Amino acid sequence: MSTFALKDARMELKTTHSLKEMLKTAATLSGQDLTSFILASAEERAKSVLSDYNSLSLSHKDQVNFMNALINPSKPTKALKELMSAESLVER
Amino acid sequence: MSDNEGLVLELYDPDNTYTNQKRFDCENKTINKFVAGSLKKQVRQSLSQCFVLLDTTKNDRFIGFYTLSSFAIDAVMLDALSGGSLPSRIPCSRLIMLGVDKEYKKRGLGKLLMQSVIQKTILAAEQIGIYGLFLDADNNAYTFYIKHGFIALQEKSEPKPTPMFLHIDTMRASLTN
Repeated sequence: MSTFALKDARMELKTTHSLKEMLKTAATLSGQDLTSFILASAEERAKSVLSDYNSLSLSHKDQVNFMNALINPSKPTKALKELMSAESLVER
Repeated sequence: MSDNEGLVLELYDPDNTYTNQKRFDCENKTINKFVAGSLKKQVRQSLSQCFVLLDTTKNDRFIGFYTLSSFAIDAVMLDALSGGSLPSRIPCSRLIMLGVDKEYKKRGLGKLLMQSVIQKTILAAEQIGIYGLFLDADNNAYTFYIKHGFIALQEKSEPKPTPMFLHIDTMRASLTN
C-alpha cells in the first residue's frame, strides 16, 4: 500500500504488554512508528500467504525435473488403478 | 462396498446447516478448526469448492469432506527448456484439505474421497486446460501419495509439507485397464 493512500479503515488490537514492548523496540530499531511497523510486517506476511495460496514457484533444478515429468507422464501405479476401480461413493 | 450404504457425497452448500459440522473431528486440529470456522466463508467467497460426505442414516451428518481450488505452478524456465511446447505457468487443480470423522475411520472413506478428487480433476480438465493435480502432502501422507504415482516437486524436507503433483494423463490412464 502506498504511503499516500487514504486511510479510511480502522483496526484495534489487543495484546500483552511484553509483546507490545517488543514490537515497539523492533519498530524503533527499524526507524518506523509502531503502526507502520505492524502493518508493513502483516502486509508482507499476507502477500506471502496469498501467493502461496494461488501458486508455487520452483527452483531451476526442480523446474527441470518438473518438465521431464510433464513431458513423460508416468504410467499409473497399481495402487492408483486399484483406487480408481474401487466402487465410488454415491453422489446426489 | 455395501458397508457404505446410506453415505452420500454432495456439493457443499454454504447456506446449508449440516448436522455435526461444528463437531467434526478427524483428529487433526487444523482441519477441525477449518471445518468449524472457515469452510463456509471460504466456499462462499469462491476461494475453493467443497464436496461433503454425509451419513443419511444420521440426519445427514457431516462425516467427511474435501476442498479443491485452482492453482498454478510457476516455472518460468519451462517455456524455454521445453522449446516452447510448455507454458511457464502450469494450471492445476489443487487438493487443499481432506478429512474423515474419526467415528468413520478404517472404512476406506478417505481413499474414496481421494478417488472422487481425481474424478473431479479429470472432469475439470475436459472443460479447462489443466495439467494435473497439485497438493501439499503432510509427512504422514507422503508415502501414500508416492504409492499412487504422485511426484514430489521439491525435495521432502521435514517437517514442512511436500508439494506433489499427479499428471492428468496418468490419472486418465488409471481409468483403463
